[in-house]
Amino acid sequence: MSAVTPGQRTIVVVEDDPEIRELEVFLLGAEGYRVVGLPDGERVVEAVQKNAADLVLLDLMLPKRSGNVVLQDLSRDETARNVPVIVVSAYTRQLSRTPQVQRVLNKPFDVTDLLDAVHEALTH
Amino acid sequence: MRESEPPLLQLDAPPSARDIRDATLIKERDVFLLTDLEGNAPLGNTNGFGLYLRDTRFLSGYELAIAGLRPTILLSSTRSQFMSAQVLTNPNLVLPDGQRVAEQTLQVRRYRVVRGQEIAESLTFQNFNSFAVELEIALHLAADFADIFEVRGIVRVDERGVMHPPRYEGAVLEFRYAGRDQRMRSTTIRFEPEPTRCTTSGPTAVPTATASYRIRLEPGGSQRLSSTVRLAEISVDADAPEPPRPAPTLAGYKQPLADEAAVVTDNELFNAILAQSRLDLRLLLGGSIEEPFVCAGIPWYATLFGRDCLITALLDLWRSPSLAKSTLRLLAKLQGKADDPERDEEPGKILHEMRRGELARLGAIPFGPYYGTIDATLLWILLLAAHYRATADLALVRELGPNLERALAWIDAAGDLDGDGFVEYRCRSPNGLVNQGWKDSWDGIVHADGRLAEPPIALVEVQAYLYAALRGAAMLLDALSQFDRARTLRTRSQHLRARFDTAFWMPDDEFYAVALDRGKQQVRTVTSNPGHALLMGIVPDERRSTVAHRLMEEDLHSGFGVRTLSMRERAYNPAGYHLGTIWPHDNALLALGLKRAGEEALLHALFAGQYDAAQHFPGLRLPELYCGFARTAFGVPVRYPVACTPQAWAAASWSGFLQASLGLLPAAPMRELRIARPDLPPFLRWVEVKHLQVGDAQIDLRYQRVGDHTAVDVSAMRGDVRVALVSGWDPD
Repeated sequence: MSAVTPGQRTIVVVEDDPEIRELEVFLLGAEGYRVVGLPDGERVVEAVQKNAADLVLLDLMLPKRSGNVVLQDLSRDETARNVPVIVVSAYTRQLSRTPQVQRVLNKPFDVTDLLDAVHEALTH
Repeated sequence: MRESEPPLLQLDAPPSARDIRDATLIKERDVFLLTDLEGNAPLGNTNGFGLYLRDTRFLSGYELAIAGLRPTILLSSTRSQFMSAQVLTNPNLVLPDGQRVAEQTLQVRRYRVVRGQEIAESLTFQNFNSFAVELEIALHLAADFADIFEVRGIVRVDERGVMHPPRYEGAVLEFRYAGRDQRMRSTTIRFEPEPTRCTTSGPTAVPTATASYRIRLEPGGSQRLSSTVRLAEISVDADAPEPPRPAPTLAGYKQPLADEAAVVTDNELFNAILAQSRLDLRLLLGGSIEEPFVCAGIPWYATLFGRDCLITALLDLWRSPSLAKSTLRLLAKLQGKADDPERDEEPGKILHEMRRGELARLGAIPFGPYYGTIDATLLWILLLAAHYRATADLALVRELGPNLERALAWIDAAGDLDGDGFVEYRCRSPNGLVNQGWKDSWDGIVHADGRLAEPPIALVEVQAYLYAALRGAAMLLDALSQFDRARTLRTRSQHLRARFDTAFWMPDDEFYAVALDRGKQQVRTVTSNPGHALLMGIVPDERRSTVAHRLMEEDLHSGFGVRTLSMRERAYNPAGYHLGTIWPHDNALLALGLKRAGEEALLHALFAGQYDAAQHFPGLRLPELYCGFARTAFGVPVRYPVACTPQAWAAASWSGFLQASLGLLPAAPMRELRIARPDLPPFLRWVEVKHLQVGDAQIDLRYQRVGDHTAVDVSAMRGDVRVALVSGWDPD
C-alpha cells in the first residue's frame, strides 16, 4: 500500500478467500482508502489498533477465529469497540449481531453496493 | 449514425478498425478502456483497442507477457462496468534456465478500475507448483495519441504535432504529445513496485516502452504488481499545468438510476436483459456530474450526438424523465446561433455531434460541434412536448421557450429549403455528411435501381417528425396561452399530413417512398423508415394497417427485426450499414408505430424477435446494429464486426417495446395516466411497474396475461392522479 495521506481513512479487510480479499483491497485502494488485508480472524484487534482503523470488513467463515468471535474480540477492546464493521459473507444468517455491525452484505456482492456501504459507514 | 464518410474523406482513408465484437470495455464518465478478452490492447492492433479520453487514444498498446508469451484466458468479467477482472493462466513454459513449467500451474489475476481520469491495475501472480519459479513479466505499452477519427479509419493525418520521447524516472513512465491544437496530452504510469528495468523507444510516430519485472514465486506463493495510469490534457499556453483535481468517488455509482421507474417481470432472462440495458445507460453517461449526457455509443461515438440522445431520451421518457430534461437543456445551450456552412450550422438548429479531439479542435473535421442533422431540431421539439406530457413541467417549457421559438423559426428559414412545406437537407460543409437523416452513411439513401439519391432530400420519417413537432409545439403554445399561434401550427400540420400522403405514397407498392430527391421524385425503395411515420401519426387512418403489415413482410422482417432496407432492393446487403442491417432503436420506434396502428399481433412478433436476438449477444447486450440475414438462414443473429456496444438507443429500445406493450401514455397536465390496450407479448406472463412518475404523482402497476387478454391493476398511487383505460394510442 502507498503511504498514508492526510485525511485518508483506513480499512481492515478480513477475508480468507484470496481472490475476494485481493479484489476488496484493490478496489478500496483504488477508491483512495488505505487498506490492510488479513487472511484470518486471529489478529484483527491488533491490526485495528496498530493501523488506527476506521472500518472493518469482516467475513464470517474464517480460519482460526470465526467472524462472530472476531466481533466479540472487537467489542471487548476499548479502542476497537467503536470501529464500525461491515459483514460480508455468504452465510449472513449465522451472524451474531453486535452494535458495531453497521451493514451486512451477501456474497456474491455487487462492488457498487460495497463502495456505497463503505462510503456510508465512513461518513456517518 | 455514420459509418462511412463522404467520398472525399474516404479516398485518403487509412486502414479502418476491423473487429471489436469480442472487446472488453470499462468506462466511467469520459474515460474508457477497450481491450481484448485478456485485458490486452496488443501493440499495433487494428481493432481500435486502447485507453481513450475525449476522442483521443492515450494508450494504444497495453499488453502483458509472461516469459515472452501471452497468458491464456480463464475468465473475463466487467459486470460492474467501471471495473474488470481477468483470471489468466500460463501456457507451457521453458524458462531461460531450462526449467519447464507446465501449463495452467501459474495463475494471474488482473483487476482494473477506472475512476476520474485514472486507471488502476493490480496483477497478482500465484504459483501452484511444488517448486519455486522465477519469471520475467513484461508490460508492453504504446501511446499514439491518435484521434478517434484516425483510429476508426475515417481521416488520414499527414501532419502531426510533436511526439516527445517517453520518459522514465523513479518508477514513473510518461508519454507526452504536444498536439497541433495547442494541447499537451500525457499518459503517466506509476508502477509499484518499481520495475526491474524499463526500456523506452522514441521519438517515433508511436513511442513504446516495456516495463519488466523479474519475480520469484515460492511454491504456493504469490506476488502483486500494481500500476496507475493517469491521463491529462492541458493547454500549452497555460503558465502552469492544471492542478490535479480529486477524482470523483465511485460510491453512488448507481445514483443516476435511482429515480427511474422500476420494471420486473416473471421472465428472469428478460429481467437480466433489462438490467443490462439500464447499466449500459449508466455506463454511457458522459460529461460532468452536474451536466451529464448519454454518449451515443462505445467506442466510436463516445460523445454527444443530438439525434441519438434525443431518441434515447424519447424512448426512455416514461422510465426516466430526468434524462430527457437534462438532454433538452444541454442541447438548448448548444443550439445553433450562426449561419456557418463549414459546420452546417444554422440559427436555431440542434447539433448533430460534438467532438473534442485534436482534429475537431483544429477544424480538420467540422465536428466540434457539427450541425449536419435534419431531424435533431424536430426531435428536440418532440421531446420537449413529450416531456411536458409526462411531467407537466411548465417551468421547463417557459425556460426553454426561447429555444423553442428559435427551433420553429429554423424550420421555416433553413429546414424547408424551397418552401414546399417539407423539410429537406443538403450538405453545405465540404467535409460534412452527405446524408443527414438517421441513415447518414454516404450511400444510406438509394433509388430502386441502386443510384444514390441526390440532395436536397426530403426523408419520409423527417416529415413525420415535422408533423408531430408542429402538433407538439401547438400543445406547448396552448400551455403558454399563445392560442392563436397554436391554432396556426395545428392547421399547418393538417395541410402537411395531406400533402405528405400525396407526395410519398407509392400506389403500386402500397407503401411510402423513403424520400423525395432533388427533382421532387420519389426515391422508391422499400425501407424501415415509414414505420416512424406510423408512430408520429401522419399516416392516414385507412393506410395504417397496410403500412404496418408491409413492414412485417419477410423481405423486411428477418425474424430478428425489421431490416433497414428490403432484401428485394438492388442495393440490399445484409451487412450494409444502412442497407439491410437491423437496428434495435429503429425497431423500437416501429414497435410504437405498430401500437399506434392497432396492430398488436405484429408488435408481439417484432418484440419477440428482438428478445430472441438479444439472447445471442454477449452479456445479453444489444449492439448498435446486427446483420440482416434471415433468421431461417442461420438461426442466430449475425454480428456486425464494428458495431458499437453498448449503444445508447439500443439500450433504450427495450423501454420503447415495453411502452408499446404496456400501452403507457402519460397525460400529466390532465393529472392522468392513459393505458391503451395493454397486451403483453407471449414471453411475459406478468409485469410490475413501480414508481412510474406522472407529473408529481407516482403509480405502481401490475399487468397479468390471462389467455389472450392482459389485465392491469393499479397496485399503488401516490399523489393526485387517475388512471384511464383508453382504446386509441394518440398522445394528442
